[in-house]
Parts: sequence; C-alpha cells; structure tokens
Amino acid sequence: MDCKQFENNILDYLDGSLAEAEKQRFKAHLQSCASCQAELEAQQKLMTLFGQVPQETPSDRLRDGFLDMLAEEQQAQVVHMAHKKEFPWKTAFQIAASIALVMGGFFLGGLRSGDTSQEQISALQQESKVLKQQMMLALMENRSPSKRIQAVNYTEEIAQPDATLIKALADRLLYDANSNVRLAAAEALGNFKSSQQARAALIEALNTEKDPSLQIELIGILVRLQEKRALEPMKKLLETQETPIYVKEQLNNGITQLI
Amino acid sequence: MKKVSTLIAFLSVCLMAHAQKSYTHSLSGIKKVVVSSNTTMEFKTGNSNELVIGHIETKDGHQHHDHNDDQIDERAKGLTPIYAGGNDNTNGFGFSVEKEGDVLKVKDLKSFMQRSGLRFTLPKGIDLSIDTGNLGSADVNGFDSDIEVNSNVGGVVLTNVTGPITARTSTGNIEVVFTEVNQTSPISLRSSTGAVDVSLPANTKANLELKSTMGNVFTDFDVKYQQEEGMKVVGANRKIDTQINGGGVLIKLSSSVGNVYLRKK
Ligand SMILES: [Zn+2]
Repeated sequence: MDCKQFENNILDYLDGSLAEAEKQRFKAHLQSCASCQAELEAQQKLMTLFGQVPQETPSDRLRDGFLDMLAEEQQAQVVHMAHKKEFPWKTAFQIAASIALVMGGFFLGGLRSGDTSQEQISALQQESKVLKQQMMLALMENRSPSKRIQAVNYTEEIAQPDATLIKALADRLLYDANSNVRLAAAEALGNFKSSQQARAALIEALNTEKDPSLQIELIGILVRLQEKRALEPMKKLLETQETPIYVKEQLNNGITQLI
Repeated sequence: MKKVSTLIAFLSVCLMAHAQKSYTHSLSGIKKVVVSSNTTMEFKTGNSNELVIGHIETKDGHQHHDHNDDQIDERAKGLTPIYAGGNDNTNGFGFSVEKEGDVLKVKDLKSFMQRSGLRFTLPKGIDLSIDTGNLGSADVNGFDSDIEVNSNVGGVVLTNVTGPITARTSTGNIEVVFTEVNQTSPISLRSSTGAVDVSLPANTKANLELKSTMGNVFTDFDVKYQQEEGMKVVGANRKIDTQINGGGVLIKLSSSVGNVYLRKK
C-alpha cells in the first residue's frame, strides 16, 4: 500500500468499514510511515471535533437529542461510505457541511414540536455556522489549488459574509501563488456586491495582478459592479507598456462603460 | 593484474556515465512532488515507489543527452559545477531535491540551453505540481492524482488522467484527455492566448463553466446553447454555465483569446 491508497482508506479505517486484509495492509503502512501517522491523527482529531460540536448547548434535553441525531447521522454516513464508493464524501469539509445540513434539519424539527426556545436554536445554528466557516477557512489554505478553489466556491452559499471571510477571500485574490485560485476568489468577491471590503480588494488586485487573463476578468467584474474607483487603476494599466493589446481592448471598452 | 585494474577502471567509467543518465530518489512517506524545470518534461507512471529522472528517449530508442554532457571539460576536472538556483544534491545530475514533510521539491538547476528534455517516472497516485518556467512544457500520462501545472509559452498535455486538475498557461495550449472525472474537487483549466481542449467520457457528470472572452467555445455535448449537429459555436464572448448528465463536479475551462473545445470521448 502506498501513501495515496492509505489516504483513500483513512475514513473507511476510522469508521471500521475496511475489510480485514485491507486493514492489515493499512496497519503495515502505518507502522512504516511517519507522514501517514500524522495524517491519520489529523483525521481522528477532525472526527472528534464533529462529535464535540454541540457540547456547549444550553439545554441538556436538546443536547442529548442532538447528539443522538448526530450519532445516527454518522452511522448513516458510514453506510453511505461503505456502499457508495463513488460518492464524494471523502473530504473532511463535505462531512462538516453535511452535518451542518443535518443540524439545520434538526432545528426545523425542533421548531415544529415547539419545545425549544428560539434562542437555543439560534445558538446552535450559530455554532454550526462557525464550524462550517472554520472548515472553509482551513480548506482555503490546503496545498492543492483544486481544494482551495473548492473552498472559495463554497462561499457562494453564504448570503451575509463576515469580515473574516471577505479577508480570507481577499488574501486568496492578492497572494495565492496559483492564478486559477486568484480568479475563483475574484469571482467570489464580485458576488458580494454590497461589501466595500470586497470591492476594495478587487480594485487593489487590478493594481497588482500581472496575469493578463485575470486582469480581463477583474475589469469585467468591476465594470459589472459599476465601480468607478476602478477607473484609476484601469487608466494606469492602459498606459503600462507591458499590458498586452487584448487587455487594452478590454480596458478601453470597460472605461467607456464606467464613465 | 594489470588487466583486472584496467577492467575496474573501465567499469567505473561506465558506472559514472550511467549515474549521469538517471537519478533515483525514494518516495517513501511522500504524497506530493513539486517539479520545476525550463525544459520539455514528460511524466510517466512507474510501479516502484520512487522518482526516476532521466532523459527523453528519441523514436529510435536513443536517449537525448544534455548539451554539455558529451563535451568533457578538462579544465573542470576535480571541480564541481555550482548553480545560482541552489545546491546540486543529485550526484551531478543538476537538480536540488528537498523533502519538506510529505512533499518532495525537485528543482532543475540547469538552464533551458543545458537541457534537451527530461522524463520523470513516478507512481500513478502521487500528487504533482509542475512549473515549466519560461520555456518548458509538460506532457503527463496516466496519473489519477491531484495535478497542478503552471506554464508560460510551453504547451500542457495531460492524457489518461482523472483530476482534480488545475492548469494555467500564457500562450501554450492546454490539452487534457480524461479517463474518468474525479468528483471530489474542481477542475480548472485556463489560458491567456492558447487553446483549451478537453475530452471527457460521454457519461461524465459535471457542472460546466466554459468561457472564451475573444474566441469561441465548441462542444459536442448537449448544452443549452447548442442549435445544430456536430461541433458548433455555442456562444462567443460569454460564459456558458450548464450541467451534463445531471450535474457533478465543477469543470471550468477558459481562454481570453484562444478557443475552448470540449469533446465527448
Ligand atoms: Zn505513507
């Protein structure tokens, strides 16, 4: 078993769905590989984190019910993973997101039965939101650009992003080494029309971005936002000698739409 | 006795010459290999858990040699070459190889002029991040791992891959043929002026985002904008957002000036 196969087997190992022969090979690799030991520990911590999520909820009754629910859902998830291998439950974030989803369903159930207060429900919802955001922020630091793009795209689901989230997206836009990730961040920020922080990051990016196709995307987004403060960096880019002719075309086009 | 020592001398010369032809590094505990070089690079899959760097074979079976391998510089006898980019720790092969946690960083210290193509052999499941510098190109075949490629003028060809894939070129074309599409995280392929040409199995589940700012988008998949048979222009100057086979992982293909082609395999 190599490290890749090991990685693919971690969740199955943790939930006990690995066949005996596989389990032996898994353990043999574990003995010999420090980096996979670390990976397994990290995954175990993550799973524990999900188990601990509702511990500080106000009502014991609510909490117990919730824990049962969570345990049931984890059970269901095990079945899911064991029988539908192709289903993409393999990344930690997706597990977190699905649990958050179940929590949402549980709140609705609680509301209907009318035996929990609105405050308790919002406290729980708040916690699940925080967890979801923490997972998203962590995934934005993943070394795979594809995973970082995935994390950036998840922000589309968030209607009211807080300053921490916008800051994280702005960091991706301005500092990510991979320009495909920077593009995803630009598009995500462009969706938050009413955030001044998001607009400021997009304008800043137009000042610093060297990738021509990303410059074109930024121009498009800022023109769509009717962001007149973009005129200055656009004019500057138009006067820069290194700017490719096809970018200048888009700049001229954009400037006339903003003036 | 004299014959024996001559033989030993001859053999050791052979061994030294051999050491120059390839370099091997164990991948025990390594999950990702990060490669940067300015030359034509081929990535092939191998069965052992190691990285082998060699020269690209020509059609008649001969290996290319680096341009200055053949000339023995008498003045350099007893000296070792040093490079601006780092220390060669590959026995004269001209690479700096460093392990950082479970990542192996492989940096070519020689210039474009000093290389004429390199072949990297690795296990098919190892994650790859490839930087082709200013003039290099990448041809990757048979990996089912997470692949990242950044290229400038050189083309990027990925064959028999599954993704996730993140690729970007300035002027080079990007060509990708998928055997199947890994659904865990997005595929993103971008070029500034080059073409982006992708082949997918017809039953691939995906959410597509296709865009060419100044060129055209062509496909033979059933997407909303398609009007006639065959490979047709499905929408100039605008982004096409659509699903195939009920939707799935995001596949995002874009070029600013070049065309985008999405083919059924
Ligand atoms: Zn390992």
